[in-house]
Amino acid sequence: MTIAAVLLLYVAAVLMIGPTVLVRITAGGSAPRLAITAWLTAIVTVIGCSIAVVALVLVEAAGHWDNPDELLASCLERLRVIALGHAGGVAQVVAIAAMAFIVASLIAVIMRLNRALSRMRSDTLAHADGVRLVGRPIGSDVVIIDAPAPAAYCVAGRPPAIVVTTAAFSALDQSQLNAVIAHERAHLKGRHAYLVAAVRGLTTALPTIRLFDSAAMHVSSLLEMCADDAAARAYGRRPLLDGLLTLSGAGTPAHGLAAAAISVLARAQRLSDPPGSIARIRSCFVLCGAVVAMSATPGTITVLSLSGALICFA
Amino acid sequence: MARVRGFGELEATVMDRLWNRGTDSATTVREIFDELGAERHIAYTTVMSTMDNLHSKGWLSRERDGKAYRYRPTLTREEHSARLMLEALSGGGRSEAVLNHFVAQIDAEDSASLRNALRRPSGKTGRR
Repeated sequence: MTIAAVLLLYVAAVLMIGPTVLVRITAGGSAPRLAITAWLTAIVTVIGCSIAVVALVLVEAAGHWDNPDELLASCLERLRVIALGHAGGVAQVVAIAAMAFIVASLIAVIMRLNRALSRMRSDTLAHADGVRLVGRPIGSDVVIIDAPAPAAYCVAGRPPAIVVTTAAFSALDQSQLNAVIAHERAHLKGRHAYLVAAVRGLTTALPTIRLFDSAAMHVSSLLEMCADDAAARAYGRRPLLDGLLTLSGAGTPAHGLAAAAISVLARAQRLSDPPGSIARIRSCFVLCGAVVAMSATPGTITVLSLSGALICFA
Repeated sequence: MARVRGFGELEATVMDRLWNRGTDSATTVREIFDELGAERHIAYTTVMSTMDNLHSKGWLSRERDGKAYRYRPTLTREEHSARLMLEALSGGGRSEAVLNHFVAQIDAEDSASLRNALRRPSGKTGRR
């Protein structure tokens, strides 16, 4: 039981202070890939530990921690005893209700996640299909679409497409256009849409958890920085920055305004005044530390409690 | 993958032909096949399944005329463009499509302050 309790403590700690700390250490975007890794490590360890805690509690409830071979049999036996009221007591009823609740909510969350993901998938494929049918292709993966609003984006589909509106096409000069397309191509090549979809799916399935919510926002702006880096390597920072400024001109207001503006500003500042090597090394160091700490903690907890070291404190 | 790409290209070509004819004229598979066949080597059944596919995706409507179907586009090209751009730009409609925008859509005020914040850069481009 000690393992479950300490793992739960870890989950609670990451859920509570994780978002704040991660926002602070990933700010500035000196090492966007590593920053994304840190966010994902937090998410994966929290989910993994939560599932482990539920499993441990269920095993404990079944009362056969010592010989897991008989786990299933003992589970059934226990349930039978509880159902028949042999063991009696309100406590048993509460225990089984709690277990039923936990398992039911787990199933509900998985179903919601699944629904959100398949919805995103079908809408994305339909959108990619649509722009291919409507747009005028230039090159193998770029289509131009008639629209008065300047915009450029990519949509992962079969096949994927990079969309540039006619307004954006006429606003950008050739080198800016190359940089913008290189940026979008980096998204497609890195399969960034899958990552965005996964994190967004989690937010839809569990909207109350702040860690997932801020991860969705920050991971997508960090992915923009990754794509910026790829485009800047190919075409230089200046055309990319100019493209960014040109296209950030007018736009229709959408939800998440302030966040979007801050993210564009951060990218622009990063391109016009890239972080120096000392800042980069420092941020790599901090982020590596965070990733190692988060991924090692659950394992350490398990080893310590199995070896009995933690019992002394419990 | 190449096959899928080719198929998508054919769909685009067929839609192009139908749009050029205007939304009010209904067209048979035979007519499109005759047009395309003059320019490239293509099987009648390929054109037929392409148009059937477009019908099941909702891009074409059809009505029976004797033994064949007559197809027509459900919306004009411009209407489709407008619908797709609404999906893409204003998060409009109920689409959950995952799109990576080059620049997130921001309003005029934010964009003005963004420009102000960046008015002074280029002096330091020497680094790196």
